[in-house]
Amino acid sequence: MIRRLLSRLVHALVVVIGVSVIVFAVMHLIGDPALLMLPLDTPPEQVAAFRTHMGLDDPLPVQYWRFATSALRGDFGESIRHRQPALMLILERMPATLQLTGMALLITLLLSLPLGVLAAAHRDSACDRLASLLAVLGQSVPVFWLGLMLQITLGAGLGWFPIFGRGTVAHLILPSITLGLYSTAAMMRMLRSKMLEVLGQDYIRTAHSKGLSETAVLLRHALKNALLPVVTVFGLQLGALLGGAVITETIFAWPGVGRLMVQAISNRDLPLVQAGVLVLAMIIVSVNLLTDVVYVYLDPRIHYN
Amino acid sequence: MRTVSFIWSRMRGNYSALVGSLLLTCVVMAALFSPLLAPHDPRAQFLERRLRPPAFAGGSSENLLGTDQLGRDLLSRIVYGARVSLLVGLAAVMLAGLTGIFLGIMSGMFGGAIDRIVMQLADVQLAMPFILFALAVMAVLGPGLRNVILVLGVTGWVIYGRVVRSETLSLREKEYVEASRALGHGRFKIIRRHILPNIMPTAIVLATLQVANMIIAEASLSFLGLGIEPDIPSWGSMLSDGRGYISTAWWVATFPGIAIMLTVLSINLIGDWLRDSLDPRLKSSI
Repeated sequence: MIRRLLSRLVHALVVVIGVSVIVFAVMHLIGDPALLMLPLDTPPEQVAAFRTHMGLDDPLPVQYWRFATSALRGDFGESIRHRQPALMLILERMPATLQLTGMALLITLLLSLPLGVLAAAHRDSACDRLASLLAVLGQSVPVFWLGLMLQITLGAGLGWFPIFGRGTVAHLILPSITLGLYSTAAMMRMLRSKMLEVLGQDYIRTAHSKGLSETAVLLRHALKNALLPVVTVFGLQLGALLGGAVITETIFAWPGVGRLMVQAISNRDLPLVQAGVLVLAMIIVSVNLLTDVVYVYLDPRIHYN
Repeated sequence: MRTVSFIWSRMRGNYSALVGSLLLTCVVMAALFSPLLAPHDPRAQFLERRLRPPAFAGGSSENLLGTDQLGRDLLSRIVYGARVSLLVGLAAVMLAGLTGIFLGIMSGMFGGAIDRIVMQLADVQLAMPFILFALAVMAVLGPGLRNVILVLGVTGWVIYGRVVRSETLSLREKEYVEASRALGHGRFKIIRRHILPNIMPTAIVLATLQVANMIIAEASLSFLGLGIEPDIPSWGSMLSDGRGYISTAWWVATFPGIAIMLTVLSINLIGDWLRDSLDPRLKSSI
C-alpha cells in the first residue's frame, strides 16, 4: 500500500513538472514573451529594456530553471496588469472557484445518483428513456449557451435569480446548475451502465433469492459495487469542472480563478497565466491522487494487482 | 449503394440514430449549400434593421430569425456557421485521431521508454484544464481558423492515444499476431496487417463522438474571443455577440445555441449507435 502510494506520489510530481515544462515551452517557444506582454506599438528600445528586466535574454534552460525554482518557493512573479504577486491573486480568488465547483459537484451527486439508479432499476421503462434522453441532451448543450439561457429565462425574464456576480446563495444557483449539468449527465450515464452490469451478477440473484427487498438489493448490494468505478470518474469530473468554470465564471462575472485566467489571457499577462495553469494542474493532480487512494481503500483487491 | 442499404438495415430499428442522422443531414446540407440556402449575405450590415425580432415574435418575414446588433440576418449567419463548425470538427478530429492512433500504436507495440514517455505526456495533458490550455495557446498563436484546428487537433489526441494503446496491448497477445511474428513479419508489417484494421472500429466510434466535443470546443474559444476570425460567421462568436443583449434581444444568443445543440446532439446520437454496434466494450470508458 505504502509503496503504491509513494509510486503514485512520484508520478504526480513528474506530471506537475511536465505541466510546468509545457506551459513554459508554449509561452517561450511559440511566441516572443516580451512582444506578447507589451502593447503592439512599444518602441524597440523599450522592448529590449523589458527583455533585460524580465531576464528574457538568458538561455531558455536558465530561464526555466529560474521559473521552476521560484515557483517551488511559491513565487510565480508579479502580474503585469495587477502589479501584485501572481500566486496571491490566484489564492484570493480560489475560494470563489472552489465554492462554485463544490456546489456543482453537489448538484452532480444529488441528481446523478438517484437518476442513474432509477434508470437502471427500471430498464427500458419510460423513466429510463426520459433519464437517458436528459443525459444525452445534457451532454449536448454547450455550457456557455445553457448559462445564457438561464440568464435570459430565470434571471432577466422571471427575475428569480441574480444574473451576475457573487454574494448571496441566490447568486450561486444559476452558475452551479450551468457548471454541473454536463457532469450530471456524464455521471448518470456511467452509473446507469455500471448498475446494469452489476444487476446481472450472481450475487444480486442470491440477494433476491434470500428474500431481500428491492430497495435493499439496489442500494446495499448493487449501488455499493457500481459506485467503485464511478469514484474514478468523479475524480476526472473535477478536472472537467475546473475547465468548465473558466467559461461559467466569465458568463456570470463570478470572481474566481477561471475568470481571472480569461482576463489574464486577454491581457497577455504571462506570469498570471503560468501561475494559474500550474495551480489548477496541481489541484487536479492532487484530486486524482486522492481518488487513487480512496479507490484502493474501497476495493482491497487492487492491493494484489 | 450497398453500403447505404446496409447502414439503413442496421439503423432502421434505432429511432435515436435515425433522428440523429436526419438532423446531421440537415446540418451537412446547410454547410454544403450555404450560398443557395441563406436568404441574405451573412456579412451584410443594415444598421436600420438592427436587433429585429424573429418573424414569429413580431418581426418581418424578411429576417425569419431576426437580426443582430449590426442588422445582419441571423438565419443566414447560422446557415454559414455550419461550415465553420463542421470543418473545424472534422479537421481537428482527423489531426487528433492520426496523432493519437500513431502514438497509441507506438506505445503499445514498442513499450519501454516510448510507452512511458507517451503515457506521461498524456497524463500531463490531462492535468491541464483543456479549454484553459487551448485558450493560452490561442493567445500566443492568435485567433484564426487554421490555428483553432491546430490547437484542438494537437490537444485532442490523448483519448485516442490511451484507448488505442490498450487495444494494441491486447491485440499483440492474440494468436494470429503471434503466428505472424513466428512467420518472421516485422513490427510495422504486423501493425499494417493486424493492428490497424482491428483498432479501426474503436477509432471510428471515438472520432464520431469527438467531432461533437471539437464543435463545442471551437464554439467555446470563439465565444471567449480567441477562436475564428471575427469576420467569419461562427456559432460561438454569434453567441458571444448576443451576450450583451440577453435582456433586450434574446434571439441573438438563442438561435446559434440551438444550432450547436442540435448538431452536437445529432452526432452524439449517431456516435452512441455506432459504439453499441461496432464496439460495445467502449460503453464503460466513453
